[in-house]
Amino acid sequence: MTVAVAFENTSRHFGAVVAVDRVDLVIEEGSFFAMLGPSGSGKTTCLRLISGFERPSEGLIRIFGEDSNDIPPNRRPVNTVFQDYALFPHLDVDDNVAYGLMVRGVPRGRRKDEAGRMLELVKLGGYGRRKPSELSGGQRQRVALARALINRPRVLLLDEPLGALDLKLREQMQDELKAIQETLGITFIFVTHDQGEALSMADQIAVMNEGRVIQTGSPREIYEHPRTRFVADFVGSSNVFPPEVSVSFGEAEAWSSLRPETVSLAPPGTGRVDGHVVSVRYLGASKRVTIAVRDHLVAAIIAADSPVPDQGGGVSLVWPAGSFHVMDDD
Amino acid sequence: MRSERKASVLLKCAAVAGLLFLHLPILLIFLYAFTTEDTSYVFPPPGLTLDWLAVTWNRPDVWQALGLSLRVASVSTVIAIVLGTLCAAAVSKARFFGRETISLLVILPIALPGIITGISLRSAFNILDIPFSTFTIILGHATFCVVVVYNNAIARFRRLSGSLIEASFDLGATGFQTFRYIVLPNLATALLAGGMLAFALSFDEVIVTTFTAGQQQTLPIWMLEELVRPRQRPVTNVVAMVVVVVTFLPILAAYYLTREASSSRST
Amino acid sequence: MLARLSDTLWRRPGLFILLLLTPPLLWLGIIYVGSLFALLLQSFFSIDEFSGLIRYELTLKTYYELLTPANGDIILRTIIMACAVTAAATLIAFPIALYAARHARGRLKAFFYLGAMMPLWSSYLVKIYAWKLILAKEGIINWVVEGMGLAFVLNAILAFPVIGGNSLSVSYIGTFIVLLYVWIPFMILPLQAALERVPEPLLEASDDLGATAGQTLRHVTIPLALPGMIAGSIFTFSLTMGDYIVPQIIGSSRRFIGQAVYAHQGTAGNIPLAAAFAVVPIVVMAFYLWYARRRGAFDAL
Repeated sequence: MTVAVAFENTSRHFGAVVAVDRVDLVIEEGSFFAMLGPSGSGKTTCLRLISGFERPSEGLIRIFGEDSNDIPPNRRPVNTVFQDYALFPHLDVDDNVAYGLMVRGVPRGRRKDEAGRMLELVKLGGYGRRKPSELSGGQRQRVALARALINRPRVLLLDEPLGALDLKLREQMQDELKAIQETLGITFIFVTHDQGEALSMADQIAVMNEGRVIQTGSPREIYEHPRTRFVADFVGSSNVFPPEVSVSFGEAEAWSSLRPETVSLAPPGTGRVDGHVVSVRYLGASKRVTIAVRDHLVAAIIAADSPVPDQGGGVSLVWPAGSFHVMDDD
Repeated sequence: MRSERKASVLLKCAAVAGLLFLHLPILLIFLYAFTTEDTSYVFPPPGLTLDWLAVTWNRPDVWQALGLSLRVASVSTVIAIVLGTLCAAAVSKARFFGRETISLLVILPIALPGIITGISLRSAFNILDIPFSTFTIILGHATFCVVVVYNNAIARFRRLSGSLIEASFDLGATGFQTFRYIVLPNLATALLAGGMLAFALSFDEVIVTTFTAGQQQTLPIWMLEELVRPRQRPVTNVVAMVVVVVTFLPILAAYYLTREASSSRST
Repeated sequence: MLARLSDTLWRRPGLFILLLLTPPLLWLGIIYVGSLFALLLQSFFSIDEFSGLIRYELTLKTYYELLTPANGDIILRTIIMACAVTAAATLIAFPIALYAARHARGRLKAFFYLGAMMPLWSSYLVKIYAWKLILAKEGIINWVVEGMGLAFVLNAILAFPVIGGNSLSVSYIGTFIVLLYVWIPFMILPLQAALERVPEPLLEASDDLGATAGQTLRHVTIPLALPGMIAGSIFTFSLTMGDYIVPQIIGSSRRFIGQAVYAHQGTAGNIPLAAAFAVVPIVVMAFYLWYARRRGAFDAL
C-alpha cells in the first residue's frame, strides 16, 4: 500500500492557540478517510495543512512521500471541495469547472470537453451555461466536486461536504460520493463533525479532540472499541461508567463503556441489575429508555414495539457478556 | 396597532418633508439658469431664455477651469484607486496589529474638516518651499479620495470570501492568475463605483483646493470667486446647472453598479 | 520569476501584507500625517510684529493669542454653531432614515436611498449657491412670505439680537440653515445604515411584550441606532466646525474658525496663527473620536 498523506509529529500554532498538536497520521492511497471531531478540534486545520493553506509550525506533511512543507497549494496534487463551495460567482458552471485547466493553459476546446465530462460524472450534464447563483445547494456542491476533480488530483479533500444540505439530499450525496470515489479510485479525505456521516461513508476514521488524534481505525473498531471516554461519548452515545460503577455492575474495575443498543430490558429481578424507568423517548424504528440504577443513569435503545413499564416502573437490565468495553482513563 | 398606523403616517410626512428640503433647492438652480434677469436673484424670474447657455459656451475662463478640474480629478482618481485597493486588500486579508489605526488613518482626511487638510498641506508646502502647481492640487485631492475607494473595495473584499481565493490557488492558479481571473472581476464594479465617487468628490472639491491651488482656477474655485465677487450672474447660474448634471451622472452610475453586485450575490 | 515571487509570498504572508500596505501608508503617512505635523510645528512658531515675517523658534506665544477675547469668541461661536447644526441634523435626518430603513419597500426604498445619497455627493458650492438664490432679499422666501402676508413675522424673527440681521442672507439664521443643508446628508446615511441593522425580531419582541410604537422607538430602536447617530454626528460636527465658505457667503461679518484660518494664512500671511486656530478643531475632534470609538461607532462608518 502506498501512503498518500502522512503527518509526522505535525503541529500548528496560532499565537498561543495550539490548533493541531503533534499529530502522527498515515492515510493510505485509495482510502475514504474521515477526520471526525467536534468544532475546534483541529480537523479543518489538518485539512488545510494538507491543501497547503496552512503551514506546519513544527513537523512535516508528506504527500506521496514528498516533504510538502515548502510546496505551495497550487503545486500540490491535491484539490479541495470547500465547505461553502467557493464557486466563482462571475463565471458560469462550465468556466468554474474548467478553471483548473484554464490556469494550466489547456486550450479552450479541450477544456470544454473535459468540463462536460466532469459534469456528466456528477450528473449535471447540460447545466454548463448557468451561473452558480441559479443553482440549488445540492447542485452547487456537485459543481464544486466536478471542479475539484478536473485536475485529476491524487487526493481530494472535502470540508464538511454535506454540512449545508438537508437530510434527504445528504443521504443521496453520501451514496454518490462513495460511488465516485470507487469509480476514480483516488484518496478522499473528508472532515465532519457528524459521527453518522463518518461511520457510514469512511473506511478509516481519525477521531480528533483538542488538536490531537485520539484514535484511528475502521468505523467498526471506533464504534465498538472506543479507546477513551471522549471517543465513546462522541461516536454514538455510549453509556460511560466510572470504575466504581463498573464494579457494582459486576464488571472489571475500570472506566468502561456500554452501547445502549446492546442493553435489553427484562422483568425485575431477572437481569444483571435492577432499576426504574426514568423516561422513554420514541425515535421512530426504536425507542430510547433511560433507567436509573441506584444513582446512575443507563440508556437502552430497544425496538419500538417491545413493551416498557410506565415511568417509575421497575425493570431489570440485561447485556451479553463482553459488552462492557474497558477504556483509557482520559 | 392603531398607534402604529398613526405613527407611520406622521413618520412618512416627516420623511417626505425632509426629502423635499434636501432636493427643492437644487431644482431651483435649473430654473435660474434660464432667467432673463442678469443683475439680481429676483423670484419669480421675469422671463426665460436660452441665451446664457451660448454666452457660457464662449467663455474661455470657464473652459480653462473645467479643463484643470477634469485633469486633477482624473489623476487623483487613478491614484486613489491604486492606494485604496491596496489598503483594502491588506486590511481585509488578515487581522493584524494596527488594523484599526489604518482604518482611522484612511478615514481621517474626510473626518477632519477640509480646512485642516488644506492648511496642513499649505504649511508643509511652505516649510518645504514647494511652489503651487497642478501637482500640489492632486496631492491633496488624492489623499481624501482614497477613503471612498477604500470603503467600496473593502466592502467587496469582505464579500469575496477568502475561500474563493483559496479555491483558485487550490486549482493550480498562481497569485497573478488569481488576481487576474478571480479578484479583479469580482472587484471591478466596486472599483468603478469607488472611482466614480472619487472623481465626483475631486471634481467638486473647493475647501482643500483653495489652500493648494495658488493662482490656478479649478471650476469650483472659479465658482467661489463668482459667489464672493459676482461678475456675470447668469453665467454662474449656467455653470452651476452643468455641475449638477455632471456630478449627478457618475453618482447614479456608481449607485447602480454597487447595487446590482450586491443583489446578484445575495441570491 | 513571477512564480518564484508568488511562492515566496505564500511562505511569508506577513511580507505580502506589508507589500500591499507600503504604498498607501507611505502616501498617507508622509503626505497627510507629515502635513499635520507641519501644521502642528507651524502653530508653535510666531510672527515677528515688526517685520511680519515668521520667526522659526518654538514658542507658545501664538496659542496665547487664541485666548484674546476676540479669538475666544470665534472659537466659542463656532462650537455652538456646530452643536446646533448637529442637533438639528439628527432631528431632521432621523425620520428620513427611519422611514427609508424600516418602512419603505422595493422601489420606494431605492428612491429613498438615492434621495438621501444624491445630496451627499452633489456639488457643495452649488448647494450654497442655491441658498444664496433662495435667501436673497428679492428671492423666493421673501416672495412666498410676502405673498402670504406674513412679512411681519419674518421681520420679527430678523429683529432678534445676535441671530437676526438685515436679511436672512446676512444673518446667523441663514448661516445655520445653509450649514444644516450642506452637511445633513452626512447624518442621514450612517443613521440609515445603523437602523437597517436593527434586527426586525427585536422590534417584534418589543411589540409582543406590550410596548407602544413610541416606547419601542425610545427603548429599542434609538439605543441600537446610537452608534450610527454618533458616526453621523462626527461628520456634521467636524464639517461644520471647519467650514469657512458658507459663513463667508451667507452670514454676518462675525467670523468662524474656518474663516479665521483662511484669513490669517492668506492676506495676513500669519500662518502660525492660522495653524494654531486649525489645531482647535483637531483637539475637539480628537476628544469626540475617542468618545465615539468607545461607543463602537466606527463600525457604522
